[in-house]
Amino acid sequence: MENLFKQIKEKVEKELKEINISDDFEKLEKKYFGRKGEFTLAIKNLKDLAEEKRPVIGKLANDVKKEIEELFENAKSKLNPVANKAKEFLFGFDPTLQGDKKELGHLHPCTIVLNDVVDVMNSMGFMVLDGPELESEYYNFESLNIPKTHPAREMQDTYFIKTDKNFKYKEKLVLRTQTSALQVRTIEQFGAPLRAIFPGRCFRNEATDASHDNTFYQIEGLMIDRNISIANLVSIMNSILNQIFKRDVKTRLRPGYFPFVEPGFELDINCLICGGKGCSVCGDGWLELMPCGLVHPKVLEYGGLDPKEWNGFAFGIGFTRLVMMLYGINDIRLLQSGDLRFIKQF
Amino acid sequence: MLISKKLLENYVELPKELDAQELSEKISTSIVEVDNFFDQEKELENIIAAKITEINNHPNADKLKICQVDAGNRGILKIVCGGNNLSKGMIVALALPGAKVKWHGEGEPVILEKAKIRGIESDGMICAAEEIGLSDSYKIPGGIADLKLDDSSIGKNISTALHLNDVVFEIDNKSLTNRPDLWCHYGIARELSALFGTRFKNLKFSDKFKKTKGEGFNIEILDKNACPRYLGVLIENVEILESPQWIKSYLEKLGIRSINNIVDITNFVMLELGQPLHAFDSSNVSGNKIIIRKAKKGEKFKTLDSQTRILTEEDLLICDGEKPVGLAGVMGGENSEIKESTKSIFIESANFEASGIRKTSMRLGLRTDASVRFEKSLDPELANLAMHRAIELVEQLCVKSRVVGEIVDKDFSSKEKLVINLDLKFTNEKIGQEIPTVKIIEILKSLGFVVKNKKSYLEVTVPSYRATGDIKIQEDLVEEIARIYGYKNIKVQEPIVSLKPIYRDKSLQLERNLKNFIAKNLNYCEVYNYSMISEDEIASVFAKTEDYIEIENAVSKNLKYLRNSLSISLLKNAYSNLRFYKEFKIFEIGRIFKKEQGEYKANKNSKEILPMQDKFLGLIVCGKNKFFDLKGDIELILKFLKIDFEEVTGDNNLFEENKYLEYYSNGELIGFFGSVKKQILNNFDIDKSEIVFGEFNFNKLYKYFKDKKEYSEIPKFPKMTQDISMLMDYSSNWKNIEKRIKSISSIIEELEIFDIYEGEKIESGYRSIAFHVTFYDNTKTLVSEEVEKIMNEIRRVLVSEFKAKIR
Repeated sequence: MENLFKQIKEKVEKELKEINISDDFEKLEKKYFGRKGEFTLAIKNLKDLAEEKRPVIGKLANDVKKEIEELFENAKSKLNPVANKAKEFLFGFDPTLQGDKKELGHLHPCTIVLNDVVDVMNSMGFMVLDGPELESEYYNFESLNIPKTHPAREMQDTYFIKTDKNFKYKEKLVLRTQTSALQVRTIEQFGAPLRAIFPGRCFRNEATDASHDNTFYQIEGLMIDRNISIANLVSIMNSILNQIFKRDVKTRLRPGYFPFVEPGFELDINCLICGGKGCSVCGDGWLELMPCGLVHPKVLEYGGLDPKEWNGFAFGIGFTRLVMMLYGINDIRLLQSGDLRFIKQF
Repeated sequence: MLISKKLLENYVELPKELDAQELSEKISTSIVEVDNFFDQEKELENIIAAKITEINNHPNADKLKICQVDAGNRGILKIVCGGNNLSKGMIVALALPGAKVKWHGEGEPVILEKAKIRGIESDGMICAAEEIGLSDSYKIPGGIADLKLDDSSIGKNISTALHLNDVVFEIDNKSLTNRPDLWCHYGIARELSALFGTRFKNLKFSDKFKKTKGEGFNIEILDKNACPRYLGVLIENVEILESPQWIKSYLEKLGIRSINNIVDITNFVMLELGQPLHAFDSSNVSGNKIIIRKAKKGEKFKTLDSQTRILTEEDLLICDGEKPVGLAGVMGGENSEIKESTKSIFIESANFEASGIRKTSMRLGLRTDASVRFEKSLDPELANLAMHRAIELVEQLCVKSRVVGEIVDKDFSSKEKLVINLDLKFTNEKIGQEIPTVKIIEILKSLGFVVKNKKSYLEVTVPSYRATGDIKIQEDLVEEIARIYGYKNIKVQEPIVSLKPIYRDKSLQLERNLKNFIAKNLNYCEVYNYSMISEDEIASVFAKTEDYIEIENAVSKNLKYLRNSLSISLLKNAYSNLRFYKEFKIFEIGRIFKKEQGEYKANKNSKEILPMQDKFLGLIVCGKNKFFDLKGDIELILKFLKIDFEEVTGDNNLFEENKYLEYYSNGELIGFFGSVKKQILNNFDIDKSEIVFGEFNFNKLYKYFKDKKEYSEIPKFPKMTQDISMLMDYSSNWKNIEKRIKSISSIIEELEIFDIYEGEKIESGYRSIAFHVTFYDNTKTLVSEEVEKIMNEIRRVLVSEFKAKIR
């Protein structure tokens, strides 16, 4: 009796493999489960069994029935192309059906653009360095020639960190407002000559809208050597921008004020959207992109260098803005949204 | 700050050929940033003065009229208009096709076209003041602007008819931070004269006022640091009137409301020269006395805006014999303001110390035109110039007025001249180009510097208006020379540097490689999340705020604490993405913050170490039954990094009991993962999905990763695989079994589970596990007897030590 059920199952399996059209299914089902079907008859024979054997065999019969039903289901779904996920065809083969749907992971657009910029800067002999986001006032302000009473501290709305007796600090702590905070750290560590960029996250305590966020990314650059001039600064800035934008970018320099450089500049680039004619994005054809300037002698002194011997330039790339510009992203908040409908585009 | 071209032209001649756009560019590239400019003539093109000659009802609209207007040589035009104040004979602003108008004064301007309005063709549009940017005096609610002109203006452009032919530049205040001398027309004019090489018309003044005998005020400065200079003058016989049109029109263009002639003069002089002034009704200043002193703690004072201010000892007050009458450098007092009845005035022109004014104005949240100028450090000499200019204007506007006695001038400001020796070689090296010495001298002189040529260097005396902090060192002078010379005239030049390989930060390189691996090999999406989180969010993962670093001055309470794990933000990402995706994998690498000590020094000269802010890698997987999915990914990540690790079971209240594992390397915890507790998921409104989250300290991954280039020989001998199927007790864990089995023989290379089954057919308390055992001996080909012997030992161990049942 046991064997009988197993045999039936094996037979069904075999026959299902050979089956072709859906009509045959019904025949097959009838053959086993119909009123005079093999399986039905076998069940009927159960009553002839000895009392004590009945439950055991009965359970077996039930299991086999379930298994056979499953076999039928599987076979049916193979016959039906819509449900046929494995695309194992019973008749012919259609190579033009869609390929299997697969998902690839995505890097954040800032990561993608940063990698590009890092490659450009490496190729020009600039190191890439990293530093703390929770910074001391000393490195974020003081060492950058921004003393306590300086109005420039208010140009930036700073997040200050609360300290107390269980979390004691003599130094006031801030979330860094600028990657420039790494200038003096870098000079202390590497001395001169030196060429480096420091990309990273910065914070400003301000209300957010489509073009302002309390969290954004900057890339600070620093070059220190002997006899570095404004003419050198412009040359390097132009090379960097041409590499990043992969075309000749027209730039202009104008006065800008940052306490840690002297002279200080704003470097504008010709608007990439209107080509410099003036449009709703740029206004007058120019986009403010890179503040820069010759390193202030005070900053060199803070880093332990003699300004008579060494000088250099520093620049900042509004990195978030650059990414938005390159991709045409119109809302800065998307970058920190974690929205996969956004991330999956990159 | 707004700057009028016409007012500039009082002090400097501007090249006629420059249009507004070009002038704006010149100012931006050499002086300060122009945000925007408004060229009245251009903005008002195609808008003419026209006279309404006939008004009829519109056949299809109750509120509209059809006007016949006389447009001069353009003839009689038909205009549909909805203004509520139309009248025959009125001279109105008629916009013709091509004119720029703002519909109802809102939004971006549009170019007007001929149009049919409710079936009637209109040749143009009769404008309301706000639609074409006319001043407030032309604004009528719901009505059109009545230009109040005579017939001779008909047909003329309204910019001509109304004398609206100025250009107003909007200067970015931030670009003026270090230039107290440029917060006015006078200063900008000086720069333009240097730029164009045209004459700067210096203001000259004399002390020949119309005077009357008498005592001026007695002025006493109690804090000479806070107030280095104070000039005051008493003027009698003043008549308070409306200002003449020319002052009103300047003030209006430049964003200041006209009040009366005296207040307007103080404001006008401030716009002109950059020196804030204040005029008091002298009858309210008792004792003919002015005392400048620090406020007492808690002292109350009502400012002009009717607000009572509570002061501290840092604030500076202007007082009379009895009481405060002004908050120095910020705002005057209500008790002494100029009224219609005022007959005599006291004018103050003073110099205050910048940081004190800044502190007061910041603390009170009271930023005024005066305070923004004082906080930039004004020139004490300017106070004198402005005082004379103000008296001149009072005389001009109130002809009967008389100065009582003399100007009282209490001057404690330093008169020391700032002299800088400018090395010419240094200058040229900094610029990167040889600039002729004569050119350098010419530029400096044109900006007001006094220059003596000492051959190899120049002895440069800094004018007082540049000596309050702005110009201090040689580099500052280099900037002056270079910007006036023109940055665009400097030829670019590549620097000459030594060629050396650069230091490469391995940790950043690893981060980049790891990101690529996780995104491109494991198919995760990378996100960036904020570093700040809220108190509620901390509570939702059952954590305590004292474990988080707090922000002292957060504007929003959603951003009050610094994250100490990536979990909260990634759970938020999971929630928001579950609305659009059923299954996904997300990762982030970012810094987290903890109160313990980290690795960065706070200051070169101190031993303080900044709080811990290691980078962490967070991984989150959403879907059904994803525990082993994430575990497999973690194993691949650790394999990619070649990190030796051990997994250990444990407890963590973020995760479901038992559905949690910790990873150790070299005895140190490097990360963990698990299935997030239902209760926590509920707090994030996630109910249907299972979330598996893992977090690794990237700094530790970097510490233990191996960069070795390794190779091991390809197997020379065949491997052998045997299977075991067994029933395993629920309570035993696989890791222990695996370890024990591997200890049996060194030729057991790997165990791999290929089937796990639980269910009806299996004895309760057990699960069925089937696995391959791979044998390999790198010294010889395996013989089956040997393998069979080990297999028997494995079965024995399983049964005797792990209560397994071999099937």
